[in-house]
Amino acid sequence: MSETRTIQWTQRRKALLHSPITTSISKLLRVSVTLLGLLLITFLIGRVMPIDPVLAVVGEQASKETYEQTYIDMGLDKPVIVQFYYYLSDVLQGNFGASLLTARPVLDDLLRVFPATLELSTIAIAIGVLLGVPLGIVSAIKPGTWIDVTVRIIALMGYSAPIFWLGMIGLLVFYGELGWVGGPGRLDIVYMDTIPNVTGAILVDSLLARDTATFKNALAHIILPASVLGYYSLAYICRMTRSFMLNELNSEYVLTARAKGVRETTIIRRHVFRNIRVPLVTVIALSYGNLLEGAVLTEFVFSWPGIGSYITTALLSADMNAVLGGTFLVGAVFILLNLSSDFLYRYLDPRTR
Amino acid sequence: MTLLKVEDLQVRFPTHNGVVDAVKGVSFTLGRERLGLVGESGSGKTAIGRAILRLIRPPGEISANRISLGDSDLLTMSEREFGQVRGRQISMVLQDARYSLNPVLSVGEQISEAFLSHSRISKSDAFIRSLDLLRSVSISNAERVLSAYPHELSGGMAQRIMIAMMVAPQPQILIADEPTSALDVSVQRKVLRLIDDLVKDRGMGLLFISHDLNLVSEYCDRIMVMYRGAIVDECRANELNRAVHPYTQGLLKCMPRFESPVQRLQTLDRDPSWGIGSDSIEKIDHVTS
Repeated sequence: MSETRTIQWTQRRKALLHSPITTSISKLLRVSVTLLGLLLITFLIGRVMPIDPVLAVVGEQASKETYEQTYIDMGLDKPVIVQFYYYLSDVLQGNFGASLLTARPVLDDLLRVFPATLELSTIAIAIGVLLGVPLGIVSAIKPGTWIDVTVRIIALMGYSAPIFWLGMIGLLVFYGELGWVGGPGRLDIVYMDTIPNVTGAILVDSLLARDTATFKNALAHIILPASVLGYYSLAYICRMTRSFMLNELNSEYVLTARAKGVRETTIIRRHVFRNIRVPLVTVIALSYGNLLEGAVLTEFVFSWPGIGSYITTALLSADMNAVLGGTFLVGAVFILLNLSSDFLYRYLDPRTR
Repeated sequence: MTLLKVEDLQVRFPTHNGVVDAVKGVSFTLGRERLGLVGESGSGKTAIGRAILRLIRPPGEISANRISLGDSDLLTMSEREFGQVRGRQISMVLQDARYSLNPVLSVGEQISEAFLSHSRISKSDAFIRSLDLLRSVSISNAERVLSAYPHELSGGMAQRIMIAMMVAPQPQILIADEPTSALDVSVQRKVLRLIDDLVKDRGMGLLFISHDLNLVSEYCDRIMVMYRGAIVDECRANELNRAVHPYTQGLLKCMPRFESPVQRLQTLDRDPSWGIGSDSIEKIDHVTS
């Protein structure tokens, strides 16, 4: 029977192409090539930028001899490809060079600022997903009703209100007037350096140290910036969920399920929601990626020492090592997120297996 | 014996250009027989099938003097009660099964859902019954198919699965909405024979919706011809040649005949007085043009 053969053939091919070892090796190869490309591009952009890296090191008052000596010390007399080779071998050993601004290794700086961003972004995206997805679903199930209209207005406001304005109003009301939340920064001064730095994420570190006072203080500080950022991703996720749902609700398989006598709540949960999970993962991964890139405006408003303000400050002072290292980290995070959403697709959608 | 009785069924869709009357006062009865419903696209035949199952979504509206199944009145039932009719008493097979099955649920999950929605049995029992059902629609490697997903199936296989799924809770009436239009001819025959066997074995009533006059006249016991939302002709399938309505006669003349070949086939001259309610006909024209 030809139908039997077709299925057998597809399944055999699947087994060969998708054996765990084959997939892992090809994934690993792809990721390393992408990372190499990323490093090359950031490096080249750093070289073609119209700023003088030597001048940034020695300052404008330096003598010609000092300038030339530094020029040679930095390896700038060598061909670009050789410079890249040196940079690459440094990076492979975990050395992104030293930052001019902080006078510390860039890697150390990144390990300090990135956990702050990671902590903030993770709470923000959790708010965005946990509220945005259900709101989007509810508004798609009852289109045109007051629930739908309310949800859409909330989403539209989150979409269009400038985030720094929301942040400042939030600080004014909830910190200044009501005193419900902590002010700018990650902790009050009294709590600073009271717990050992393990992960760099204060919420996690204080839990590890079983220091509830520090944990509460950190939570009071993070809740407002995380809500402001979370509101923004909520708006986006909610709108996308709504349109994915409306789209799927018109599908033939929904009609089939209804004709079969499946209850409407089951249709939403089991049939429709399972079909929007894949595009939803894409949307969520993208918003999370955008957050992890660092939210410069929010970080400045809340004096949050995250990667956004770190890279921006470095860029403004021509601190190229810091800029390259920061950009590479952000790129690597994006690649990692893509990779994990790829894995999720395979799990969620049988057609991609 | 009459199973389903429909009196003066109307289906309307309000649009920006006015109300479209998709079905305009249709009445018929269905017993334990094969009833063919023929008509061109847009004539309202699909709307009838979906209206019986209350599958017309708002803003579409259904109204009727009476829709009854045996002794129970389907019109006055609450949505909750109707859940016991849909799939359980009256079920429907859709046109293109590969697109009408859920792409991310396995065949087994989808068939067993038909059992689980209507009877209190365990999941594993439902899977065992699904397996038997797949064998009964002559799918040989049923275990493997049970764990397959719709994109791994051929069109004919998917349609057989769809049919199996829809007859799973043993409904009294099966509405088949162009069940073979997406299949090639050799598979068509097999699927039709399968539906026929099921209908006969279980004593079901079949409402067979199609645009293929030849197919319906061979396959069904009785035929209703629809034109612009109304039933214009009704006859026994073997008496189709004696049909009285000019639309049916016109349709028959448009078909090439082996025994009397002609140089040029006739085309259909449409008379605006066919069907009823000439004002709504204009509206339909306006929308479709």
